[in-house]
Amino acid sequence: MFNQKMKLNFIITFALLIGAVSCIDPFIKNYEFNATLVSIEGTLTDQDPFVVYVLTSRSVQRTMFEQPQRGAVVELIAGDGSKITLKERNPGEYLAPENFRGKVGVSYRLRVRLADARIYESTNERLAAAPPIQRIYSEFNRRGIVTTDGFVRASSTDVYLDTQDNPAEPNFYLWRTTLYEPQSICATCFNGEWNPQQNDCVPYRLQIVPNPPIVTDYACATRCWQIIGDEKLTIFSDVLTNGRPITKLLLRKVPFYENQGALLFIDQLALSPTLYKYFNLIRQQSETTGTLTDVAPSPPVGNFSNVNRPDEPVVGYFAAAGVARASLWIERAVGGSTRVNLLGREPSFEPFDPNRTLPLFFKVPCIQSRSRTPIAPLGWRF
Amino acid sequence: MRIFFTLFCFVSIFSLADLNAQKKRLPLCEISGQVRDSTTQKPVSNANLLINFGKVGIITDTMGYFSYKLPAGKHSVIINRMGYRPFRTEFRVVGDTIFDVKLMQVANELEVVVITTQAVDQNITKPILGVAQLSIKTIKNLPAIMGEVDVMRSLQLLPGVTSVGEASNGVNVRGGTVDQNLILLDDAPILNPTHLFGLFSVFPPDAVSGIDLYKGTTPSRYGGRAAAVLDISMANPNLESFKLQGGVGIVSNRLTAEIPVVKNKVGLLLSGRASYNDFLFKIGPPRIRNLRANFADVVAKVFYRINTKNTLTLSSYDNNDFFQTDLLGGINDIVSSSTQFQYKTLNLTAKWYHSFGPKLDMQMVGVYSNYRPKTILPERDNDNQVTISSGVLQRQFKANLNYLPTKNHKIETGLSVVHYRIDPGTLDPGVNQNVISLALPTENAVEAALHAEDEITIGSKTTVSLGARYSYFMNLGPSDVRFYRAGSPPDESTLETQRPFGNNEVVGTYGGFEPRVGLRYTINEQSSVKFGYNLMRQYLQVITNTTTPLPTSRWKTSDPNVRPQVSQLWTAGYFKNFYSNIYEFSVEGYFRKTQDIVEYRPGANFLLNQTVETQLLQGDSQAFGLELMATKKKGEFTGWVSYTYARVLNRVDQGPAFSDRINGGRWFPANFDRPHSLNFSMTVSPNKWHTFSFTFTYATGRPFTAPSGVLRSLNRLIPYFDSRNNDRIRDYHRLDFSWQIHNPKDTDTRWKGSWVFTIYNLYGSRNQYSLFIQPVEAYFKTFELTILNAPIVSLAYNFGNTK
Repeated sequence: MFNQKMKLNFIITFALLIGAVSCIDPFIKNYEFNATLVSIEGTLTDQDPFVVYVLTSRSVQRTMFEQPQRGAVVELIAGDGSKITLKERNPGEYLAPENFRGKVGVSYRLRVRLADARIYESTNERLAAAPPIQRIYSEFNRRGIVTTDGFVRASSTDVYLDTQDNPAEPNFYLWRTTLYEPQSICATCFNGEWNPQQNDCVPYRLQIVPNPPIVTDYACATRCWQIIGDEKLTIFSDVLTNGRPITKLLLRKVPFYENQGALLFIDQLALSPTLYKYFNLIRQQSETTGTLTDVAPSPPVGNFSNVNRPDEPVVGYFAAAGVARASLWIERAVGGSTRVNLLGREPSFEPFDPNRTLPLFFKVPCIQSRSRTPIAPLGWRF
Repeated sequence: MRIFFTLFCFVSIFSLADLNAQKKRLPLCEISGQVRDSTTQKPVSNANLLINFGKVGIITDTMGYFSYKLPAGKHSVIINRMGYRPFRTEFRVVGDTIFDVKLMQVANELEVVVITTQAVDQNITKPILGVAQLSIKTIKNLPAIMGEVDVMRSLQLLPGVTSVGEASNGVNVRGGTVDQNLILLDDAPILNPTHLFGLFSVFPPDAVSGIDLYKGTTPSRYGGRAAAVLDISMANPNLESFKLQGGVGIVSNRLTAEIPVVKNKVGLLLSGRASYNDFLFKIGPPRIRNLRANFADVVAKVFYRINTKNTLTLSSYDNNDFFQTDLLGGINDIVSSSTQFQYKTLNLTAKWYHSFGPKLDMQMVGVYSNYRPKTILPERDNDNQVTISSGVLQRQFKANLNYLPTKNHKIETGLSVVHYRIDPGTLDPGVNQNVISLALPTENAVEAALHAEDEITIGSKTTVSLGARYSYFMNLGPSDVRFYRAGSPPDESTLETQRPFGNNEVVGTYGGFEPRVGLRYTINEQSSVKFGYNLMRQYLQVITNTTTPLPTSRWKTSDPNVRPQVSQLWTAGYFKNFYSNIYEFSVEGYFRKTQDIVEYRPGANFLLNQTVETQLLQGDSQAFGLELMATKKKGEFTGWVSYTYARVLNRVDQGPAFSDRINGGRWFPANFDRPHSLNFSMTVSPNKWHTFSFTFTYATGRPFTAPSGVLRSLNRLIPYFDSRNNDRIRDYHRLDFSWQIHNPKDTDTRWKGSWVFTIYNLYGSRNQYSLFIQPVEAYFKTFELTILNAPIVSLAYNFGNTK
């Protein structure tokens, strides 16, 4: 018979043993990259202007760089044979006429002829209507974001969606969410200082570059919003739910930043089976890894192929998708939450930096970019 | 008394001084005696006596006598002689003492390491090669993780047997995939050989009597799998006396009873093992609180000796597993709070043996085997569970005739018919309104085979085993079959027609001869060379794209769109025994070529997929290797050391399109390709109370797919993977230790107990199971998944009655 002390010892030993069963840890591994790939990406919707990016992506040794493919002929070909030729707006960025939108029920394919005469063509993609989003709602999750050891890093607002699947056909969904968070830090310089003329960081001219670097944050001179895209791909196939309501689908865990409120925009896209397979492959090999049964990754080849060389891997995709939209105000007036700073650390104003020439707490403008905007998003609650 | 002794001068000056000092202080007594052979009673000359751990060394004379003077007091002596088991004892000297000792010849001992049995020199005389027969006694002596005696892990210490790592749902034999092994437990197939996803074997150790692994020449009575056969027999119950044995371990508890129901006529064996300790996870570190893991297996066997010519055996095997872990991923398209796995096997075997006389006997076997895995998805806000279940039901009849017409012929012939009924997947939403109810059509098929084999002895040096099997496979309706363009891989774009088939209508057939040939040429009594050739056809395979198959992976019979796998194996070997068969040495080489292995397209999804053939690609595999093994089978030290160089390469090239090929149609290493492996196993039994075992294993790290570039896609940087399995994880190595203490009180009672103390992964090697990449902020990082990465200490208690 165990006495109480023995029993406790046994339990602790057993728990420790099992705790040692598996571990996930960062592992330093250097890869010698060597890949040159044509990448084409474009999503035609019934709501937004149509833009296609044509690039050559080169990975050499341990770095990657992209070369825009200039002078390509990019054509969108509808099912009835009609063509729309896209114009090069910026290097490698091709834009359809400003007012052009995809039509629900029409099939499209994209044909790209590079300047060196290589021709790439996508499969036909039918633009399916996206069912409306029925409900977007959120729940406070005190233990929302946890470390790999199971400890709480931050509370979160878990955003869920309800929608009604169309029973008439197989449906595949992609959700894109965009989070607008008030941002008080508009620039961060590493071993350098903000240059108001250049509106950018300029490195210090030092004999020895400090390591770890001197980090200087600059507060915003005006109101500013950080634009944060998805960290994860949220996709769904109705093969197991055909025609039934989709309820309480977790779209995003929004961390409890120190701001009191934030705004989340949600796009619901109706994908084709081919595109769903492509996105699922990306998700499989970049997000759901680390299990005992990982699938061996494979090239993320979408629905493009080289007309003359079918064995060439062409990365990227052409999607034609109907879009339904919604937004949600993220309320954070909740007690007992674990909060994190938007920077992921406390701001560093470096008041004692001897290299500094600007006045202390110098403020910088909020510059419009993919990740930041001075314009309040529609529906912002001031 | 005739006394002759020799004092060896290996004693240090200090020892001598010490001894002389003692001599001055204490009266000296004469210790004398004779050392003799325990069997022949002949004197053993030149035996080495080490007194007090080497302080004094003497050797016996030609008549085995020795003599020496020792001070009164307690002394120890060890007597060694080449070819004999060492003798150790401690004794108290109070006066002149005569001390006679009998040494046991190692060659007369029962084999401790039994990798080949039946005859001590079977490895020399049998014409088949590549067969390993492990005794359960050997396996019980090996260190086992958390004290759980494990057949599958023990097999991995043999050359040519590997796995993808700690959590491997099966083993890979000479370049074969996990599902290319036919695993039989008392003639009934085992489709999932591990509990808790690879941690433990499903075979209850106390109910197992023998394990035969055929990795080379496979007898023609076996068929249906392309690589190897693992034939495990359950013990027959004792017909004379009641026996009970059991064990208490950190993971599971077990009990086995052998009950003579009618003495010398009817016996019953009952064996059970269960693990229900997973409630302890709830108090562990946060990351394991979500873990649940339980298993149980039960064996029942009735043996009826009808008369001297007839026996009847009925056996059943039932197992059940349940586990919940985040380490196995989930199902994306059903909203649930977690993913749970449950799988059950129920096997029933009836066997009638009839002897027509000393030259002819017959065996008839009926088998029922039902494997039912299930994925359970509990809903978040209520008690409802969505389940995805599947099943493989096999019913088989086989008959065998063994005929010995002359001493130069051993003939075996027979037939086998097996009916497969596969439920590929049923989705049951319970009361969930959001999930549909779905059942994929059942697959039906029949595999029939005739076989014959003759082992012919030609002269005194040559034995030939000539065998053949003819197998015929029929895929049967009802089904709705899609036909694709000939010569093209099945795809929506190559679909030509779809046709319904009625009940039991033949949808497609395959078949052919399977020659099995073995040749042995004896060079002399101690050595032989052997050659073998095998062809095997496989009509039932597991469909998976994961590193190792999940217990819930889908099984699929061949049909018009999935061709059977055909494997040919050429083997050659040299075998030599030394010192009265105490030592064995072997070197074996092989080359395997397999057609129509099953691979998968990028992004394949098999779950509840009605057109699973569109997710598959078929290709070729070739494997080759050289295996070296040295074994010491008897004595105080027993064990083996083996080294293997082996490669497994696959090629898939079904068309010009990128998605019809893997790695551009070039050969690439299989997931379990591990070129170098070294295994070492040693058991030391210095006396009847203690047994120490060490096992060491090393293998080249298995392949993984490393990125060959970086891409920007969907506003993020993602790794670009060009070639499958283009890099390797770190090499694997591990040392295990066990210490068994048998009957520590040394009492001659009805019940005897033993303790087993085990340290798995003694030096805490952080062996990688996999390397993988995950996004971190704007980039991605490499992570390693390690399993059982620290020393795991366990203590188990085993007991049993001896009288």
